[in-house]
Amino acid sequence: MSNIEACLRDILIEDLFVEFDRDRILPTYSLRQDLGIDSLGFVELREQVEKRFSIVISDDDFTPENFATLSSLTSLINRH
Amino acid sequence: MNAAARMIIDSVADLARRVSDFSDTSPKYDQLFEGYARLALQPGSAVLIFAPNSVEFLFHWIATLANGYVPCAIAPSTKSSLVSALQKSLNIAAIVGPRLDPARYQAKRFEKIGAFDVVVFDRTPPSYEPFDVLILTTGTSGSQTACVHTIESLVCNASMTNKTLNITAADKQLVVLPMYHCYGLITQSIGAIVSGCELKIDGPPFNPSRFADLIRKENISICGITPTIARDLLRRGTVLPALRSMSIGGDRVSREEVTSLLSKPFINELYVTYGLTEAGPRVSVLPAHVAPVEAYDSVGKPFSGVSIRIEKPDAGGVGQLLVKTPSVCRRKVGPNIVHQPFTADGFLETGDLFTQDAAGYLRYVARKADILIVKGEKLNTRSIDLVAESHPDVECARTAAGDMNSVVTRLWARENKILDLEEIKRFMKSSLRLHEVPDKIIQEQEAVFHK
Repeated sequence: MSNIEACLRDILIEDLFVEFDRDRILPTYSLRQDLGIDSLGFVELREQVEKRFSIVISDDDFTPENFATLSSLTSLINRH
Repeated sequence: MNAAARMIIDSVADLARRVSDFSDTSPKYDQLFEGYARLALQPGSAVLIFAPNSVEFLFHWIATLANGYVPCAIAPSTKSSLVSALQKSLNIAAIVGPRLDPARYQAKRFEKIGAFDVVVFDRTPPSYEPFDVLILTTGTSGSQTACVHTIESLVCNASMTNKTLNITAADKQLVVLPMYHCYGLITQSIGAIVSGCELKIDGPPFNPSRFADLIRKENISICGITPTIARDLLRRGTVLPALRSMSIGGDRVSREEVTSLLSKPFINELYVTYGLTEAGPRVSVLPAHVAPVEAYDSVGKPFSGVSIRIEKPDAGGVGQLLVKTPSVCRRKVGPNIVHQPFTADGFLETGDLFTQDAAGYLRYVARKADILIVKGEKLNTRSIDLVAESHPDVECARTAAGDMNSVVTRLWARENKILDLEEIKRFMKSSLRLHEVPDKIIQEQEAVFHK
């Protein structure tokens, strides 16, 4: 597991209160379908990612594709 | 089976050709129907569907209905503590959704239907009639309340909306609003079943550029949005491809915002709507593109077939809006429902204060004091207070609107304790949805509080 993925799991559990055991959140799980994140949850997730990784996610990057799974979000963070 | 239920169920084969989303799965309705039949719940048993926007959600919803169960959609971000409370207070017989953990619900029976998990609560007596539908009113009436509608009333309201907004089989509708709320479920999804139009289902995160791209690529002709999304589009100066019509509902829209939207060449028809879950939901509409400028600050006139009355108007003509509509709910249910919101002569008490001018235009004035709209979402301050008051150190809580569209909760401690406000915020966050979590929590001194 990458450090980025580990940090994203922390955000999901500690800031978004996703009710999953840390180890059960697979990188391929859909944030929307499997973890139940809704529109305001995605806004919070974006803010927390920006804060923890000191990056700015543009509106153009705030898409369902980039925020589909932990893997896709990790890729987005790696591109910054 | 009544005609409305038969129409919905019989439409599935055709609907499967007209509806699509962006997921990789393609649910098979027949398998879902058979899966629910195998559950062998008693007719009238409520099934809580805990899923995001998708074709799969819609097919599960119809499959439960077709089996004589009572579907009840809920936001997938809802915490398990509230789901468990709802299970008991609304007599929910099964919970359905992706990746359910049966241990959280202390249920012994666990099944799989399509891609969703099912947790079954045996020995839950049916509290409803087959072809009833439960619509939660978490935002306006408290966290454990719902309207009991019949499928006929929802089809009736969707049909009234289609007729008023001229939605036909030639249209293609985009759903970006949550399908567990009235607008996405009834007005758009059931509306599409009734009208025969195509339906494209999308979900969060909402992105104005993507919204524009979707309208272009999918040849969308109609869509419905909230005032929050409309303001976002206006603020960013988003240019959309031409839409036949756009409708806005769920919160107040100002005269200036209507004027700005009408100035956009890509909006041909603009409809501002008003409604509430209890009414099924839509009550009135302002077709702003043909309305006089002086009506831009109104929610238009009632739908044909809907009667209204302003109750006990004050000197300024302000009073509670009462509505008589063929799409009204049968009753409200939930542990804190002590009064059914109906008058003796069959009008629905909306709890919203309105005026009506000589031309018949309805103008919204204010909402009941315990309802706030924050970040585009309705929330019930009393529900937030109850969560805060379940903390062992909190004697009493009062939530209200703060500056800059924020939510502020004031707390009074038990036994003059010094409250750990960060810990209490985490405690509240574990039960509330994100928009309900107070932006600011303040401890007040005991002497200030009067029960």
